[in-house]
Amino acid sequence: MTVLEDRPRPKPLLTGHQDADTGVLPVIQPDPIAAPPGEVAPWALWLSRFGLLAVAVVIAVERPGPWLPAAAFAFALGLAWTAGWRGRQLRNIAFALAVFTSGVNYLSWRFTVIAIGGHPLPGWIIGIPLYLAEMHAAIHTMGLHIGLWPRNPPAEPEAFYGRRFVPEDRRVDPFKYPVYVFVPTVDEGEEVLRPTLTGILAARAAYLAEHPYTDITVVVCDDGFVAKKDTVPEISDLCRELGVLHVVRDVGGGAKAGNINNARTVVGAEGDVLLCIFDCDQVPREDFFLKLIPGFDDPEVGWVQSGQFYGNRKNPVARWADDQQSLFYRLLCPGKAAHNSAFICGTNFLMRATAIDSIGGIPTGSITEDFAASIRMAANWRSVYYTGILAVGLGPLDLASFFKQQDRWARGTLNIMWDHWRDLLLPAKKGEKGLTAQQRAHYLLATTHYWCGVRDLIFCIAPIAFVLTGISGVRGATATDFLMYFVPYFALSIAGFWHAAWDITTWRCIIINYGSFPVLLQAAFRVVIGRKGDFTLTPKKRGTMSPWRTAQLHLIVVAGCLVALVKLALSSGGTAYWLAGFWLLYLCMMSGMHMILVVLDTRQARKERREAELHGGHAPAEALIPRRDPHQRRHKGRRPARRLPKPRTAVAGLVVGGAMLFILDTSTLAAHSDPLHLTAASLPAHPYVGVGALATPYGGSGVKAIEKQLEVTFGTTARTQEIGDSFDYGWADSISSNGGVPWLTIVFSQNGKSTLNSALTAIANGSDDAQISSWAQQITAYGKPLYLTVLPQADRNYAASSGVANGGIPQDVSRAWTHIRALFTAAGANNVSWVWTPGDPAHDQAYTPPASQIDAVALTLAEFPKTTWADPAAQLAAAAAAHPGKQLMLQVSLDGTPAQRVAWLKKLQAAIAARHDVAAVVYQEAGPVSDLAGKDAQPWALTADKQTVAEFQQLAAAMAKVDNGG
Amino acid sequence: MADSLTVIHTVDPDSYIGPSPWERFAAHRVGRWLIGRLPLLAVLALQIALAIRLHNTAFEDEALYLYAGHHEIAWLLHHQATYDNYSTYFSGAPFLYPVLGAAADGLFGLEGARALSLIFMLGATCCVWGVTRRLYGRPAAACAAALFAVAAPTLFLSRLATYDPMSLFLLAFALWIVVATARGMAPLVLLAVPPAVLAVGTKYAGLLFIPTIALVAVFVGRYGGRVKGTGEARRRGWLASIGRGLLFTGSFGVLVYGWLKLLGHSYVAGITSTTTNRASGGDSLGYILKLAAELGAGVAILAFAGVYVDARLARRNGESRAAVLVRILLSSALAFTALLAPAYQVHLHTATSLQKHVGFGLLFAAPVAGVALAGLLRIGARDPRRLFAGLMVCLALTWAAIVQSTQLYAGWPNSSQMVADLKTQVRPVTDRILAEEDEVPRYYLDDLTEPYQWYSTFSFTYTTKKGQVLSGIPAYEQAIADQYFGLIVLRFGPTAGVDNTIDGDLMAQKGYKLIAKVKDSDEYGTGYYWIWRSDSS
Repeated sequence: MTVLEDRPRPKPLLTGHQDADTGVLPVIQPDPIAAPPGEVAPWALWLSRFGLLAVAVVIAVERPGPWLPAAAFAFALGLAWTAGWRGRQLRNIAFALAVFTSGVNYLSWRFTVIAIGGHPLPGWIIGIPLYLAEMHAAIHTMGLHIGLWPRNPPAEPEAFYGRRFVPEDRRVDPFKYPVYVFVPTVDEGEEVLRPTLTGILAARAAYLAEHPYTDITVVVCDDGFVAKKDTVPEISDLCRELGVLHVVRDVGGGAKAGNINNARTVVGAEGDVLLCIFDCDQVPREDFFLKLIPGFDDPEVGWVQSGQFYGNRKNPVARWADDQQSLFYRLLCPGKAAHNSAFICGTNFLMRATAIDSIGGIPTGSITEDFAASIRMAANWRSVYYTGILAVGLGPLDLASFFKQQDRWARGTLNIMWDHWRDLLLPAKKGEKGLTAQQRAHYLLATTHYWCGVRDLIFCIAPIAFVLTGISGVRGATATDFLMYFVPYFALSIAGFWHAAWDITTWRCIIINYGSFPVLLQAAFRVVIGRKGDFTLTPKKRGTMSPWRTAQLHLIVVAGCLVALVKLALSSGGTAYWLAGFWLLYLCMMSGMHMILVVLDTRQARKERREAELHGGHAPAEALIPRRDPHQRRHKGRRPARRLPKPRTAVAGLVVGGAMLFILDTSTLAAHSDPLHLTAASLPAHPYVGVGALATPYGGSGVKAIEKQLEVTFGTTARTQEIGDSFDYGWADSISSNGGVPWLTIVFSQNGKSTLNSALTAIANGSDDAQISSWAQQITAYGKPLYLTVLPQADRNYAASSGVANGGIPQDVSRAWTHIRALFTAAGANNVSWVWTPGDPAHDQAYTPPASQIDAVALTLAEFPKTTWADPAAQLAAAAAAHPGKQLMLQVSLDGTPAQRVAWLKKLQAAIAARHDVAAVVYQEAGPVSDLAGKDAQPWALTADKQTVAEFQQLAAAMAKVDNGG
Repeated sequence: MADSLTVIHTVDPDSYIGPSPWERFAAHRVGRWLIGRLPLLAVLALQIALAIRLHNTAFEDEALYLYAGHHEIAWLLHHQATYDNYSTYFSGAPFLYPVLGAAADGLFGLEGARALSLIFMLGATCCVWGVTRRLYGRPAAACAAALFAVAAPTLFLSRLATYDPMSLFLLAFALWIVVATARGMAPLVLLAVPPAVLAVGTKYAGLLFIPTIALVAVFVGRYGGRVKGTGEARRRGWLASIGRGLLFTGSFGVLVYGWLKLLGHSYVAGITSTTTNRASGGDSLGYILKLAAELGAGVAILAFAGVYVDARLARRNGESRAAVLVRILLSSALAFTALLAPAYQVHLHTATSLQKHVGFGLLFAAPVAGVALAGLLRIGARDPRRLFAGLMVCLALTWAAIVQSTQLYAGWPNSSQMVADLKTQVRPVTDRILAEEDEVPRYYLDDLTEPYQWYSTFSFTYTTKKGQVLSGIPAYEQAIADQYFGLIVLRFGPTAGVDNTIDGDLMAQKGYKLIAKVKDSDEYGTGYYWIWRSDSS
């Protein structure tokens, strides 16, 4: 049998069209410089930019909800697959588009619900900062995806990003350039510098072995003298030993940039040469020059940057910081470079001397001179980024050092925005070449990144302030809106980020980024007030400050969150508060996880102290081992099997999941288990005696009080409930526990009023089926005999479900009754004795349901003052004649003088005693009055006078002697 | 001297551990089959997702056809009276779709009937894929399927239990057969005739698109035969290809004629009154064109661009001028079909059902539009900018489709509360109920009422107690005065003129009591269902 793809597939009828099987498109070799890029005219580029802007504007105006991001995701997957993308890049395309659409969708909706007014403080105080903070987060999330948008075919494990096609006639020989390597140092000493210089010399040897006609000069730029450090002699000895140049400044200024500029002048590294800079702890790989220098075959390439990774990952702070570095160097930098927007990161890079000289040398006015130089050079020089790990260095050794480093980077970067906003935002001056749109976008993203400290503070304050004071930054948002706009955006952002960052970094980068917010906040504040601060070195030795001192603000946040959570638990105020609760928990979790690092750093300090003591005050050096390069794994083979969940994890998951399912399952079981055999109430041996009322509080103390007063245990209690209520198991059980049978009446009114659904036609047509079935299931679950009246007084116009009013006709009663019974039967409620309770059971033929559908007939004898009271014996006889063979039930109520009531009760007693078919007699406590506690109900009460109470006691006693033959 | 630092560069990749599950899956023939159709599966998934988000109670036509279908089934199985001669005024054969739809409705309710429509429309999308793949290759097929699947009429029809999805699918199937058999013997084209006849029988308006299928049969007939070894298409002569077209057209004509003869005059009357000689409406040219443009202009423009792209590819591929001309004719026949329905409705001056008929045109235009989109994406080159542009085009069209299909689906009032209220009042057998657009409550209350209990505000004849026969407004007025109707439901919608004339006694509560005023909203704004109950009921 030929099936599926084994069958030869016909080619398209019309030739010239592509018919590559979209499943197995030939892999295009990832060599972006082998062929010229597709021609894109400037107008097309601008058109696409305006198109993107227009899309954003339209989404912002229309706010189409979650369907557009979903469609964007599906479309991107389908079309990009069709167009030949596969794997991670394919998914990145889908995420990028979905995050963009959901982000704009969310921000535009969020704008409409910013709180402005309010009391006691105007909402904008938190509303506008909160919106700006969210906007910052959203824009940077979208910025990440812009960087991830594929510009080139998939890169090799180690590849250049941002390198372009250069025609043969314009290419230059990159190996002809002399190279000057500068290693700036201040006080790091020989211990740190020796491996760096050794590594550089090894890399030089490897390079010269292949390209012997060029030269690499290694220069140590020593600022120890200027900084008044005592390391100059040992560095001098080291340089002499290794045969590298040692330049010591005697006039300071310009910090690291000034140091290098000075060394360049001294050694004459100018003209057509390449400059390479290593921080003194960055140890290059042997093939460093071999890998990077080919990037200079394009005469317009100004610099080639490679990553900066930490090798001392056994130190917890360095490990966490390295994860943060990984995110930047392994995810963001390639993306920026693909848009010709890479920037110099201060170390592990090569640059053309002519490029840096075109801006007058390395800028000395900035504490992040590298980034400042990049922005100034980027308009005229191309930048390239290399993805491999070509050098490994030392990460911060403790939290204080890490925060110091973060502070320097934040101040420097934020100041660059301050200094270069014209370059980034305004058109270039006439005659000058400005930055491209992509460069502006990427540099703006980079320079605004460090506002995340302020952003995180706002995120911390907003939910706490809302819960504690009620001041909300959001007004008019519903839970549905939240689901429609925020949840898709949040979920896609998170999923998109982790998809991109998978293998590249870990959750630690997120935590340490959040953990830095106090120091970033401080840096932002300094920049705002105009204090640039000094260039500070990242110490290469552990300081003496306790790590806990760096966590003061985090502890305050946790305390605030906990207080807010306690308040929330004590007095919840609806959905908005629960959402705030979610954020509070999230903040607690983030802060708590940062505390993990604090604890780890504390332990590390202790450990280092112990080891130092063991080794005579000097801890042994450890090997520098960088994090495994994920690009390798991404391009080779399948993921190692060890990444699969371990069997025990899977078993644990199964056990926990199974247990949860079991709990969920058992929690949905009915509270009362179903008895095996349900039986309806048969005619009791002696008539039950009880009380009842139209109102509903007859389940508790009321009955007990009357029983106590009468010194009688009732055999039944009558209760009326509305169709919207639930069955009261406690009430029913309290009666059945005494051997009695409860008598329930269900009326189809709503809050005492009849509605369209109360109509008999409505009941018969199934409009109330859900509620009836619910009652049926509950009564089935109750499982003990029960008298049930439905459609009471259906032959009267005042009934909620009337056969003579509200459009009802007598024939409707039977239909409705039969329908209700059918639903109860379907639910298995065989424990119900059906009590037909008309207004006049002696003359109800037009209304009465089929005899087979009735188990008992109830007489309602409510005797009003100043009227002729009915004869109970005659009434019972008439009812029995109209409904032969049925149990009779009585609900009586009297409003008259005590003597009248006593006399009538005597008659009733005699009438019942004369019969053998009365199942129950119930005194309706409030008569026809529905308000049991009201003034109108008092005259009807059984306990209104002592004589009646005494007579009723006698009646109850007499009933015990009535023999029904059971 | 201090200990020196050692540097260990770990750059070796993990050892290669055999093929991944994906690679193993791709190596299997089922895997290859599925992977080759992944774009189609993605498109179908998107179509399902975007369709099932549409929610509303039954549309008047849905209610009418499904109700009729139930009674047709009852007649077929038990010879129960239908109380109505549906064939005289239905725009499709009452024993085809209505029966099928009612069967699904009976099993799974309205959602079941709508699911059937969704299946038909998914089938149509698959046919678009198949047609395009065989004509223009897979990349264009993926694009064509995507464009068709997320067009507003497609999404709308995917959730509409009427004739249209079934008819559209059958047309698509016929088109696919015509294309798929192009390389085979000419008589194979006859396989397309039964679905084409069924399509037209299902919905008479489907006839409008048969000429396009015939033209496609002629043009693709030119590519009959295959060169052995290379599998390249071999040209068939003009005479043979025209003969292929005539074979299809002739057989189709004979079958349709025989069918009409068999079914009788009522069907001819139905076809005449609903389709071929439909009464002209009062909609303006501008309005019809604007509506048509909103619904289908995106795909239509891409289709015309596709004609150009295909011709350019043919020239680049070294085709002769004559061959290029044939291709232009083929692509143009498909592209111009997008304009047929709007043109016919312009001729009739009516926008009724335009939203559905535009979808029929898109079925034919989508393959050529797919060519244009695939050209824009430049398949195989993996150009991110072109991908972005293509995605923007798709997103814009999808967005418009989402918005439009939502509007279309909200074009009739949600009747759930009205029906719920009515359900509390209707009495089987005896009650007479006057309801504007009575098809909807009649459908929902089918188990409680009989067909003869329902009266609509479109037409009514009443015989007074004195034996006088009245019709129109006087009939309504007298019947209301006589409390002939047990229940009356007006919403001042399509028959607002009649409603406003006859509601005097009702508003004055003479003999009737207003029992509910239910809010409703449709494309024209917010209104109310007014429900009156007779005092004598």
